[in-house]
Amino acid sequence: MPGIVVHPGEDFESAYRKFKRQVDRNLIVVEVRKRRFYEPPSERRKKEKIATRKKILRKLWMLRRYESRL
Amino acid sequence: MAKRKLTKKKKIKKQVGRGVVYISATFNNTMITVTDEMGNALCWSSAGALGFKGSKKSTPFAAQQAVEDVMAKAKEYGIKEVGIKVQGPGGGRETAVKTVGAIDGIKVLWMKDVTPLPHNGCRPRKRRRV
Repeated sequence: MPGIVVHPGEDFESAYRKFKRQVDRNLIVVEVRKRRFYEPPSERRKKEKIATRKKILRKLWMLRRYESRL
Repeated sequence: MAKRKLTKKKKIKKQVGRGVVYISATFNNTMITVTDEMGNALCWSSAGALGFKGSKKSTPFAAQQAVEDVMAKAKEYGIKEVGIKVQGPGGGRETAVKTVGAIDGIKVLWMKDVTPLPHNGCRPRKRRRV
């Protein structure tokens, strides 16, 4: 559970930035948003498929860029 | 028949120096409660209570107004130092925390995120079809 103590002499802005960094690092908001609705297995598979396709395309693009530089 | 005399007693609000601000930022609304250190609620406000309706309730501006409203109420209890507990993923989340810090006369001592996250608990509701 992320949280900070504002030390005496520390201004609120810097303390808030520290707090926000902690919250962002823990991916709390992302996780809650992900859990808002149920994701059926069919949708999960669909997402996976798209992610795999993207990964392959990216690899291909990198390879082509590398070859063109040779 | 003897009439009962109605005497209005002026309510004296108990003085609390230190308190906790609970910010609950949901997808549709932002609710803020100020309690004493034991957790007894002193005052509260929300975007909906201030007259924001519909999707306007979930805006950062509404959250800011709600915080200003509740902190004005809290000052009557003599609150000077607060801790902040935030929960939920709503739009008013960041603005609400920032506004508490920006109010003069109020010192923030600590901040904590208390968003409840299930360890793979109940199945969430189905996705909206819009």
